[in-house]
Amino acid sequence: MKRTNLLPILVIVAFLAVLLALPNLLSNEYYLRLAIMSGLFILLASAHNILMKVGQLSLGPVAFYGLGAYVSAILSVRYHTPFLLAFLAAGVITAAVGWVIGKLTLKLRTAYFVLVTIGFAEFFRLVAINWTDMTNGPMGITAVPAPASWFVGYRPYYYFILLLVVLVLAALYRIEHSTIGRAMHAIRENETLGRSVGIDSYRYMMFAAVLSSFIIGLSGSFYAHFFQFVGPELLSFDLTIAIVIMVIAGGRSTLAGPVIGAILFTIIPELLRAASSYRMVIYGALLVLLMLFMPDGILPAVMTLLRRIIALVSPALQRLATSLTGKPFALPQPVESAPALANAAATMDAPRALTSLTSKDDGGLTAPNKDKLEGQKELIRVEDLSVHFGGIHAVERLSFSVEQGEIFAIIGPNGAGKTTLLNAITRLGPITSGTITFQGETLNSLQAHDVARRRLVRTFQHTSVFPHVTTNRNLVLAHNLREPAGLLPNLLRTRHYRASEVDCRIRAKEVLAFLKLEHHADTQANSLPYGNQRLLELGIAMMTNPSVLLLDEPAAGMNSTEVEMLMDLILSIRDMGVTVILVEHDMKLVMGISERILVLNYGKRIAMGHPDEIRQNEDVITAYLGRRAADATAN
Amino acid sequence: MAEFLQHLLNGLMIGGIYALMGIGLTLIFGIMNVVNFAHGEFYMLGAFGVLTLFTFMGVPYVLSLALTALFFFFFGGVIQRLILHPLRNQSVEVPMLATIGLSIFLANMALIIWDPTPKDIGLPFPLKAVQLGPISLTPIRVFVFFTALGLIVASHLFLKHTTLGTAIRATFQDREAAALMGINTNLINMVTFAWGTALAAVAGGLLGPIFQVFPTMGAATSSKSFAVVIAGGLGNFPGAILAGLLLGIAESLGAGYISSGYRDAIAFIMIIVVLIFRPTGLLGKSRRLG
Amino acid sequence: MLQLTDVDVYYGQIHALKSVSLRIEQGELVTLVGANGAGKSTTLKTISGILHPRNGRVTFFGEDIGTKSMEYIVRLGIAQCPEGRRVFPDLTVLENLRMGAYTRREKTEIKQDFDEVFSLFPILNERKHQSAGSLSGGEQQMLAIGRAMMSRPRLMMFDEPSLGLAPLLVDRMAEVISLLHERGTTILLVEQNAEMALSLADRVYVLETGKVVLEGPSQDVLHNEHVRSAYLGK
Repeated sequence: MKRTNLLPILVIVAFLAVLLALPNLLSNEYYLRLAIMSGLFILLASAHNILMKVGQLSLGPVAFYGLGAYVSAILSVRYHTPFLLAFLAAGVITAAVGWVIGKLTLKLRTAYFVLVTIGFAEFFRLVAINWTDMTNGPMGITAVPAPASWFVGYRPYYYFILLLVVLVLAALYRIEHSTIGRAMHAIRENETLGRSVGIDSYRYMMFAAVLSSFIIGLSGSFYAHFFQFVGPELLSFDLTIAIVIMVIAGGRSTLAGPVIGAILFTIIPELLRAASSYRMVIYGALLVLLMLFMPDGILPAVMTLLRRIIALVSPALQRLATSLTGKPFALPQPVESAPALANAAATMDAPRALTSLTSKDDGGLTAPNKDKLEGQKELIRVEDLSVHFGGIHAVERLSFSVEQGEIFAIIGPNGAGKTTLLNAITRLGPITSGTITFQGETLNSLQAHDVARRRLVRTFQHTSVFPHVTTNRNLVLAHNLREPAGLLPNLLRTRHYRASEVDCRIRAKEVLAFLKLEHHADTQANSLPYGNQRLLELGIAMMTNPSVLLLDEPAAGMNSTEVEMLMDLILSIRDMGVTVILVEHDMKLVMGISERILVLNYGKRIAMGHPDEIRQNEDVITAYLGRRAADATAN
Repeated sequence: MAEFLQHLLNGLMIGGIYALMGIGLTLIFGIMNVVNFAHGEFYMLGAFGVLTLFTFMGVPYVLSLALTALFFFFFGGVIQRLILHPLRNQSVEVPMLATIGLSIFLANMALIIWDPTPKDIGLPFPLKAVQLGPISLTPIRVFVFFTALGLIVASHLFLKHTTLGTAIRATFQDREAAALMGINTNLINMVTFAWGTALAAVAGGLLGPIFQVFPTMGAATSSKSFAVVIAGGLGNFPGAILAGLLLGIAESLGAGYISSGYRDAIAFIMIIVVLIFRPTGLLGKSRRLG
Repeated sequence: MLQLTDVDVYYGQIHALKSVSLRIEQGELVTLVGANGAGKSTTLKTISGILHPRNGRVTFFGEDIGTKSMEYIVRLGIAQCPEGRRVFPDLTVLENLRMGAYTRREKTEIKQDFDEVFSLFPILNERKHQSAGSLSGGEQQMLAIGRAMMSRPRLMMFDEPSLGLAPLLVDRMAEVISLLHERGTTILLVEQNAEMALSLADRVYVLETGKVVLEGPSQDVLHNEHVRSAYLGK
């Protein structure tokens, strides 16, 4: 186990040694300056990339860069603040502004978010130009002091930025491989699904915005004290573009991508200096070509290429290795962040099989309780619920209640309002009037992730998984609501954190076994066969240890064997004490397992009762099969 | 009062140009879901087109304008085909970044070809102002305003009353259903982009004689047209017209009475305020054409 | 007239149609039944050219249309009345119908077809200057059918015309479809309301998870045990 870890550590140590010795290796001060600029851009690009990790593209990082630089410069020049204080103040004030702007804008998505960030950046730039009393306007602030008297030449700056880069990258690495990084990944992959398993996407986006602006603010301060000058051109759109190109060209939302991009795009323009006037022309053309041929960036493109080469070469390698050593040769697997825990999980796995899936003592939260279960207690109550979309009354004055531990089916023709009802209960969709209560608490004012955190978890009619990651990773991403979410437990890897990691691994393994998807653990979700994707959706919901499971047409697209398996699965989920609300068209499934059925048509309840009562109900037959059929049965 | 009216009329003229830029941009967004960052560069190139034809080659002004429009219609079509068509299935930021690359490319190409010094197109019409009571209007400003207005009305009529225009609106509302009608939606994309490009180029050719022409003039106008499109509601045609006129007037009055330094900030404040408080735009409904 | 031979269709990695073969003769009314997700809409989308088969052939009057554009296929005379109606909400009724005739140029013939649509659905004539979005669900369905008729199709495909309609309107749709059929239009009908579909159709294909599991004259299928239990709830 230990040996697999040694190699990457050795590489990193060697790398650091080279970086430490770099000033002695470089023949020319100019190169050292280039190295400092690369470091600065690594910070900027990596910080900007944090927002990419939650799927938001900002075109306003320079607002924070400029802000950090101006704060630091003004504090030092006008108020003679010591460097370290000015440096930290730049970070903190920028982060605070990032928080405010985030509060205002992070409800927006895609192009809307992009454009509002440009608006802020340009606004800040105009303030920098026009607020001459504070900023000296277009002249800028000159004679910003060096951090200390011994900051002479480039060397001290180089070591300072190196330290900063190492610290920031280490922190980002740590965050990436923590529950926070996973939540961000889930949001990027499929925000709606993320929210429906309890991930508060807004909170994580805020976290990303604040962290990103903090790091950019610090970088701005460094800039001010390095160049000893701050002017409004620091806020130019061109600089934003440079940063964005670094992130995208390198490979957005990867850790190494922005680093590679920053280094490349600090050096390339310098090389292009020879072409002086054509430099920006080439830059523009390069961006267009990059988008056309490598929209995911250089790093992912290279990785894909490498993977292909490995796939091509590995059979030959394997044969070679087998013939040489007599042992099968395995390619090194990517090292998981906490191998010791994986080990612990593996040893604990055998005796604990299925225990966590069935255990009721789930940290004292809302896990179903045996006594209640036997008491047939009302769990969910829907009262006088209406949902209108303009003139369409999708759900109209509907009332019913669901009891603990039952399988409750909702049926009705397409367009009867079943999905709208599920959306209203899980708060992914609107409520026009009426109330929905769960264990006496009204859900009306809650958001989707709050509902999920009360263990009401749903699946979707149109298959909804985290498409670009493996089956196993899908399950891991869905574990969020059972994990510590704070920054400290994640950075420090507290006992609670480690326990939840173990729980996550065990649980994922158990869910895989439960769904009989073990052989697909490493298959990318969107290349799973359709029926298996639907099972995976069920697994994602099971990772949260739900007390109520709401299934929206789980059998759609399944063949009859798969439907039978699904039937058994739903029954055994119910036997674990989970209440199941099932929206389904497959009558065999509905009639086969549900205890009570609610029939909707035009958003209204037309019948409710046991399967046998429903089968005989005239209104139901008419609604489902049309008048002809009703006549036919009547005759 | 006279001063106020003068500001108002100047504002209307600039606003008409913003609206002309805005409708092209909003159509392109509505049909193709592309935020076109090169729109300002098409505007700049349009001005240079008129400079070349009218000032350097002596082609009559109105004919120069028409030839410029025609050229950039085809230019836009080619750009759409070469750059945006291959990216049509990518997530929204990919084509957006491609147009940013294009805008950098075009602006810097122009710097090489025409050097950065601002140039005068010269006056196509007599300078003598027409006095209307206390207000004076130069013929060129009248021409600019009515040409812009005419093109906006023509665009509206085209969308509303021709088969191709109706097909564009249909594609805008439901791309797949439109294709099921036998509408070639790729062609619709191309025509829309070409048309938006031509409108932007004409806008440049119209304002060229009033201000000066220089390679980086696109950037400022570009951001103003974004403000117009956002305030009007992304993809909202009448909204873009209204927001364009409003922005023109607000800038003109703001520069006249408050401070000319913050004149350009008005557009960005408009972007921020509208997106935060009313992201569907001033007219409320985000998707509406014609 | 239309023939699918061993057609495989994928949505990304998902194998949506598995070696589907079916044929429709001129003047027939053929229906596809099956559960949600069985591949009915996918079949229609493949014929319309929204999706293209990875393997197999789609031919229309002998011509391979599997790789052709949607535009070309409409011009050949295949119209689809899509699921969920998909009328253009901000266009007027008249404009919607005009879009249906987008591929055609002969003014007099188009005029005749307008008259025919209006005689079939007088309500559309009354509302011709209203925006389609302001129509009721049933009227929108009529508009969607009228719009498909406007291309004078040789083959008309309906995807779930009864979706979200009141029983009375479902019966009305059934009447309209059989009327169009009687007038000589070849029809391919996809319906979740199996009872309605079976009562109208000459022949039936039953789809399950992307495969044709049963085919035959509708009377035979109507009495098939499997179909009765799975789709008719009997």
